[in-house]
Amino acid sequence: MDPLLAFGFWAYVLTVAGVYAIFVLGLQVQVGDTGLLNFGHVAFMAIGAYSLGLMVTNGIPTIVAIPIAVVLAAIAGVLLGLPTLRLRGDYFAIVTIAAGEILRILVQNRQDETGGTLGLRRASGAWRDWNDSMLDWLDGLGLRDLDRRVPLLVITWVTAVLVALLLMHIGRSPWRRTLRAVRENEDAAAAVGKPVFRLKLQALALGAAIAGLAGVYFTFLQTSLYPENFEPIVTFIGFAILILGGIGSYFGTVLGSIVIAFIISGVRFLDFPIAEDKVAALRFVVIGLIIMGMMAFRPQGLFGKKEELHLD
Amino acid sequence: METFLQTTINGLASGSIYALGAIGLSLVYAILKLVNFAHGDFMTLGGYVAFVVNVSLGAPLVVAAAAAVAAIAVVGLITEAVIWRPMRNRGAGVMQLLLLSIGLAFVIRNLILFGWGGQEKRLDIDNTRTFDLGIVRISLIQVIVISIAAVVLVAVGVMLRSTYVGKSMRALSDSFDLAEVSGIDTRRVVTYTWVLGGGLAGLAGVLAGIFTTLRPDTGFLLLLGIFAAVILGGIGNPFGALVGGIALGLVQEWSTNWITPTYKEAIGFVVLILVLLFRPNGVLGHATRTG
Repeated sequence: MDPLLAFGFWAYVLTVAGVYAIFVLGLQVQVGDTGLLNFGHVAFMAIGAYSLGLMVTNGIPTIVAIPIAVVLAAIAGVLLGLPTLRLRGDYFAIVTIAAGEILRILVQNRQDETGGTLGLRRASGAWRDWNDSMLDWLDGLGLRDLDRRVPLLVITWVTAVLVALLLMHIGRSPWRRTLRAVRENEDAAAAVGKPVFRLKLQALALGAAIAGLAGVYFTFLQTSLYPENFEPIVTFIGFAILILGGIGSYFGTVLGSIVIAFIISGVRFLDFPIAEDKVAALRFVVIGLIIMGMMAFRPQGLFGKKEELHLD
Repeated sequence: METFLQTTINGLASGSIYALGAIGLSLVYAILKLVNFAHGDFMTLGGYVAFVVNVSLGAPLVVAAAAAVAAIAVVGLITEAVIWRPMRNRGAGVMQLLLLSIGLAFVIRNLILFGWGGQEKRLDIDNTRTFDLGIVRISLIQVIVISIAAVVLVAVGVMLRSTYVGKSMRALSDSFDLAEVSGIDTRRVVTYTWVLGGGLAGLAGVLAGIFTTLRPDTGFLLLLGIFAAVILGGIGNPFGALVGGIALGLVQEWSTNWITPTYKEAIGFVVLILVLLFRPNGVLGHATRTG
């Protein structure tokens, strides 16, 4: 089979890109708008995914479980932020990554509830039925023999665009302007009476909720959940996307997600004369070099603005 | 009592590895304002250098360890010359350097994966031999790890306290600018910092390789614990890093007396968070003005 023609494969890669796009839009709120270097972002995605999975496997209807999962991720953002937001930037980065690892180790160990390393099966609940009805409906519209992955691909990207539009809308609000003021000069913002701590907490919670949503789509895509899906590397890939596309640029985030998803999963169609695991290693070497190159020569990213950048 | 002594020995061994990793990370952190996320991968690389010399070339383990120490000291110097110094000269911020080091970590870890594959490597050492001391058992590997670490850590301690270079390093970690205006050759001290930090990382990698297993992510998995040790001891305080590392190893192993050992790692991170929340300048650190 020529993978270039394997539509289903590309649909999968693009859906992965869409999930990453949503995930990184959440990071944009925290890192781009507020200057919070959250290295535990993957934990919020894990909370969205596992909350959904645990609720649907315990008989709660999927449609009810989804919003609860997103809200739980937001609450986790508040709980993480309350004690940690007063820390310095580098400390905050290390603490958030540690918090994410604590959560992952917890999920791994609570095997009776979460399935642990054996995985949480059928975590996507009613998604399969929904998928089937959508395919039937599209079939009725004359779109016959569509690949099974098309509905999720479309819905993921529609969601990503909606989230981006929502953030752009928020972007014109006083709230986000104040966030930027906090990012640029916290003391000055505080001096003119802005509630700095509360604003940071809100940004962390909003970003966490968006990551929780990414976790929901991730669950739809994978059906089963494993703790190793939520290792710190996911956050770092998110940062690679953020840095490549540009901090503060939603368009850059979308483009960065597609580029990085193709590097991670998409280059399989190229026939390298070396073993598969070696190719996998080289992909991540490329991602590492992208991060290094961007940080050294264009820290604002491809589509970011230099004056928006705040990396001190 | 028996289990307490046994876990103490285990904790001293794993704590020694944290301590060796933490001293270099702490000095580089304080002197160069570099939160080096590639430090764990420096350690891994040291382990693999030792593997090549010891297993592929068949040289004795001692020679292999020396080669690893030298190689990683050189790697540290190369990254300083090619990456960190040019970036500092361009006025790069702390977070910019931090993110760059994450990219470097990706590159090193995956080049190791590319070169040697993902399966576990073993150095040529008898890992089954244990000594029965009556109430506790200590393995040959634990004896080696603890004694090497003890000798090296004392030597480093003496060096930092009594030699000109060591004092200069501590001066730089207090205040780079003040050290510079008082006539210290900061560039030379930075070079020694990388040699010391890199060399210790290489040694820590070899010891981690014989104590646990050598895989491309061995060092990265230790890195968060090492950060915990650094912060526990107060950033820039090499003695603190030493104590922090040992303390972390002990707390993790002691915790297995009450909690399932699979939570051991998480205990380290809980300690890290508690320390940052209640003593952000470290347990041994003194209050400093930040910003």
